[in-house]
Amino acid sequence: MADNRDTHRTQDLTRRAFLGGTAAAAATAILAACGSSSTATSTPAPTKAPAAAASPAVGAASPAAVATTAPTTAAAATTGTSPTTAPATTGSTSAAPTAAAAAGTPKKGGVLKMGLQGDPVALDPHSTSLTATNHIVEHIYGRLVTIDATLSPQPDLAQSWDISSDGLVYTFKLRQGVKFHKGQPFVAGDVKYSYERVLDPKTKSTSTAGLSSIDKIETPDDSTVKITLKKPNAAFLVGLWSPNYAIVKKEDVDKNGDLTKTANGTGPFMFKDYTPNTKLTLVKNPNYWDTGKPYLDGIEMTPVPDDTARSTAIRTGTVDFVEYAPAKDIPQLKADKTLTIAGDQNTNIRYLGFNLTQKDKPWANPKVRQAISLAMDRQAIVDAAFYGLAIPTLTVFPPGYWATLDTKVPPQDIKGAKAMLADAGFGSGFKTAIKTWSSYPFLSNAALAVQDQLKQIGITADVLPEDNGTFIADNNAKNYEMLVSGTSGYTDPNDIMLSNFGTGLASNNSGYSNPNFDKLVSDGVAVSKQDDRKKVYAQLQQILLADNPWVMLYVGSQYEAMKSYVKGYVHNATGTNIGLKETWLDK
Amino acid sequence: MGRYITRRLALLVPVLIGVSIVTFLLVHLLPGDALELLIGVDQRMTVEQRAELRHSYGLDAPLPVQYLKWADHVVHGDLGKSLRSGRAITDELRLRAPVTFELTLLAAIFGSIPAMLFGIIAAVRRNSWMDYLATLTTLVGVSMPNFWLATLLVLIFSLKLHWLPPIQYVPFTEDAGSNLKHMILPAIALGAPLATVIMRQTRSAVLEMLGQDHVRVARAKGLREAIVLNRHVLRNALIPIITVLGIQIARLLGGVFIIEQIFALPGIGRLTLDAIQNRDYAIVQGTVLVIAVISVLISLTVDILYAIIDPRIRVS
Repeated sequence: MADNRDTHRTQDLTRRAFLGGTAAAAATAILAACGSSSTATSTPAPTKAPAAAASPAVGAASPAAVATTAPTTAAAATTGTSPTTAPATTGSTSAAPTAAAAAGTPKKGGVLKMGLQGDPVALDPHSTSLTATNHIVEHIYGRLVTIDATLSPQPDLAQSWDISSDGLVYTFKLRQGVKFHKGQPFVAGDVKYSYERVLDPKTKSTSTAGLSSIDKIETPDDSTVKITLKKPNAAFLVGLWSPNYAIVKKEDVDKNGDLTKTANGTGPFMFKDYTPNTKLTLVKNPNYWDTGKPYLDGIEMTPVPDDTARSTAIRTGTVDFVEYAPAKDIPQLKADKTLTIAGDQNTNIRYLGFNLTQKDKPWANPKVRQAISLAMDRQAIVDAAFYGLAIPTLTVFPPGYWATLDTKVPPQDIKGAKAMLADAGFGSGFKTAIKTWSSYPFLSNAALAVQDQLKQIGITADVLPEDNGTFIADNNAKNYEMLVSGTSGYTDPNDIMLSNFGTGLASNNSGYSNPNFDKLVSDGVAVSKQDDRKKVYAQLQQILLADNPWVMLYVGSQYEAMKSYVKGYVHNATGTNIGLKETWLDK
Repeated sequence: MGRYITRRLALLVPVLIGVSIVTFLLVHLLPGDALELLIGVDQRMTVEQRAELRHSYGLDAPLPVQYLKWADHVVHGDLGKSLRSGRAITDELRLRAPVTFELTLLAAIFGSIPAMLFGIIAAVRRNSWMDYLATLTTLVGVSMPNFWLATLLVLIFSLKLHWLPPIQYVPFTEDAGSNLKHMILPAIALGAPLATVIMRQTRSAVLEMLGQDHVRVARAKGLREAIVLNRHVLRNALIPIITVLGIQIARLLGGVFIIEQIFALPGIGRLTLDAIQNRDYAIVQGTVLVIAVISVLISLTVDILYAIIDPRIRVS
């Protein structure tokens, strides 16, 4: 029975995710950028990366540079990890084998058998933003840009770009000679068509947000796309990475009505066939623009939603690779000599949220929320909810990410919390209820730990686990008092700040509203230099720390497990499996 | 007979209307809807954008309107599209039905043939150790819910003994051997409750027949025991057994929902459960409708079988 729930699990939680792209895993990547200077200098790529959003024409790297980017940065990223995260945890150990795996001369050929966490469900990249769908279409369709390990934009179908000094006009020079899997040439009109299809209400896309700042798209010639924004948006470019902004061919849509049964992209792998809940097969695109890649002849994907079954499948060798290797089995999998584990912290924040629209409740008082934050023993929560593999946090961004405010998670302070609570007039505590997701043990177990810790300061909370549909409905209708929930991946800090705390947005579940905060959020995308943006996000995080619409609990982790003959795969903090393009089999 | 069948088939219409209305109301009673589940909790959207999306899915229409629209399509042979995958539900069913059909058939075979054999033995050798063993097994079987039995089977045969792989379904047409290997445990788990019922039914029916006058006469004539059993006891005992079998096979279809989930089989049951969790209304409506049709047809088949086996039953 456990497995059916698993099927829906991460899929549902993360779907919103990929919206603007994912920054989630930023972790590893980012660490490289801010890691020790010695690593940074060792390769030119990472040094350049952080500047990306800032300076015009950044992406204009030569094809050679592009080709080397991934492996090099990856190695740098992983080495960079150790010094930075050493106190934090996991990173270093899991990173090492990945870096090692990236070494060696890739061998061509072979089919990778892969265990998926969820059934892909749907194949139209524009209308669905479910993680399980993204994890398929990301291999089939090319996008204008891709991301590297530091979550900076890198050339993909766009070979270079230029951003006007007012930040409004993006001119993309497209890669020449790229062909769709069915042989048609890739031209500027395809980009215009694809983006307009996402924005067309008939497509029923749930991920229009990343493109909604577009004013107009022009195609002066077949190899140039000029996109004009309504107002400057520093988060725009990297967001184009999302599989939901895949470049498709108009005639496929015209012929089939939608893209649920066909998949014709420019990506490294071509769609072969799909039997729901049974198997999906991808084969190598022999004409992929990045000559020589992919190394694999194909990928055979099988949904194995049950956590234990997925662990068993990789350990018994039924498959060569599994995504979402379950946290509960990580120690066991790491001990297995036949396996390599990739992965690290991701950018998913788990939090205790408050319904701030209930003005007459104790938690409407910021002091009460502050007291609750003081009462949290975050390490105990991580131990209970994530087998100790996650990272306690005070702020909404993960450690190592460029926008993250430097904070230190304080130890639990019951005395201080009680005093603060008494000061707010609730010295004798109060009763409340915490709603959470029954299908995600890493949240429902966290809720139980929170319940226990609240009890220590006199707050009695009932924990109410709910099925996905019920939880989402309650969350959206603000039909709750407190909740333990989580966010999912993003590539740009704006995604998380605006979606979750912007006044009046449907996705702002706490009902938080702060005009000063809103203004800073707009500032965050109006300036383009990363250093300037960093200052804005630091202020935003300070405000959140003072206001506590959410009390942050921990940053999640995500792992892939593979047989040790699977080489070259590089984990990405957003949770994407785009590393499979570089993967090869040493057998 | 022809008229009888026609009338029974005509009765399908009100049954299906009733079933579809009840299903429709039940799925809409569940909190949350398909769209909210698609969007999730932190996809950035304004309230207006959500409303627009809801409108484009037709989810903002009043329930009676939504129902009638659906019914109109169904009458024209179109079960609609999944809100989540965008695939036609008829395609979806075509893919899933063989799995459920195979599972049900295997479970029916596992659940009836050995059970009848044991039932006969238990009756003929009543009060022997074999009878007691059969009765005891039945008792245990009846008290054990099949989802529990299923979990136990996975635990023992897949995870502990590694006899059968925990994943993954392979279509029969692709690799029959591997397919059957994956089907054994689910079929046993699904068929077990049926087996216990059939065994008890067979035992008591055979026992009853053994005490009948015509059996005594047959024996008095000097017929061999095998012939007495075969011709005079079993043939007559079969009628109540078939009745039970008919009802129970329809019930097997209910068990499919849980068993397919536990064994990760891509059948109609799993499709429906997934759809309920995702509030994919059109799929739930479609699968429940199809299952209702099948159940009605099974019970009709059973009624027709009666007439064939027992000429005394005259249907008016």
